Amino acid sequence: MEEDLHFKIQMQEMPTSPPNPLIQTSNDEPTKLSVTSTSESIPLQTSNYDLNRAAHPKACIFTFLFKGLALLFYFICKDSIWSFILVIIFSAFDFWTVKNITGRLLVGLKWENVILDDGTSKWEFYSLQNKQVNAVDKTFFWTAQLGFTLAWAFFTFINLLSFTLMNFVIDIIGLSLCWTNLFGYYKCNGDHKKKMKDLQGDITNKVVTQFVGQMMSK
Amino acid sequence: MDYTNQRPPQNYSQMDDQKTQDLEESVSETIMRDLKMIAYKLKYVLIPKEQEDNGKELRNWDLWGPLIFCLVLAMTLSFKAESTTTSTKSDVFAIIFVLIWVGAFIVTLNAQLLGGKVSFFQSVCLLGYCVFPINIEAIIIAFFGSYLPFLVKLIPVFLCFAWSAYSSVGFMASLVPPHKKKLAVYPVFLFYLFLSWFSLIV
Repeated sequence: MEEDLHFKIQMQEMPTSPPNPLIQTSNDEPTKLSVTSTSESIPLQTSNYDLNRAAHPKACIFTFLFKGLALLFYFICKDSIWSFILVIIFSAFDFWTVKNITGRLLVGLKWENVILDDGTSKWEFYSLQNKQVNAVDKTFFWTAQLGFTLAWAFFTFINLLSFTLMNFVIDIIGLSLCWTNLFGYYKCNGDHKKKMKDLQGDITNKVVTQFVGQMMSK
Repeated sequence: MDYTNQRPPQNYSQMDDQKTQDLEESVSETIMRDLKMIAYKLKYVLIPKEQEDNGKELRNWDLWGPLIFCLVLAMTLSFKAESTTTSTKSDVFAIIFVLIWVGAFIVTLNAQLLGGKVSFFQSVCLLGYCVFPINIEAIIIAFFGSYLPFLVKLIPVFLCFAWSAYSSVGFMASLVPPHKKKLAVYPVFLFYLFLSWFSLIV
């Protein structure tokens, strides 16, 4: 980690004028930029889409691939029965891939919907406590999920207004599969953050009580 | 609907540990796990002796099994269809695909309207898994059909149809009130009969 930081500091001190205003936010403090870019992802930064820096480039590609194919065939085979079939098939593949593979690899989260004995359903979320998430992976994942959900929602809305039934049904299917994943991962992310906060709260508690205990025993 | 799992950080239960470990498994492990689950459900649905708990397993419905069987059936039959024009093949594929899903939807709707207490997806899942015997006979006919006379072909078709219908009827009948059993079961018969007949004539 420290070597990375060091390398970044060196890189940014070399050129005198910034070639691209998007990448460097300020000329005066290149070191500050390198510190923030490792801990937070800046959504508009073009280098966050650089596959060479991704921890799992294949997973990044697959995140886009099936969703993209579904939308592509939706346009190519418009008004034919094939759009129906191909969108369902690719959306289903994408759903399984994102839920079981790319979600795990890219953001380290997993959600499940468990059906209990009395028939009700319960959402469960799992995440590793000490997960290290690559910024590029994270950007790819969330951009893909959010972007395609919005795209399907947009088409659903358009087809709702124009009353084309078959296209509307296809849109609903694509939208519901994308949305389920987005919702599941969003909730899982929230749950993970809450877990981390609880854990830190626990640790702080322990440290404070130990400290107080030591103070008292003196 | 309770959507958060509230548990203190230190006390992971056994299953939570396992699921958290699952986060680190390889891709092939994930695929194998899901395939095994489909195979288990298939055995459960098609071999009545495997059931000990009155269909409780079916509550964990999944639509992957039905999707796979539907795709395999559609591909087998369209492959076997006369290659006069490509449109015939794709027509057959589309017909089978739409037939299975719309048929399952209608049969489920019928059962629900008759007062059956069954979740929609559970029933579609069941009907989808019971398509597997029809898959088998479609493959048999695709490979050996040209060597056998028509009457001999009827035998596997009939046997597989009987197997599908018997497996699904057992579940469907248990879900509706007793005096409406026949009304709920009749569409199921029709559904599998049509699929079998279709696979025979294509």
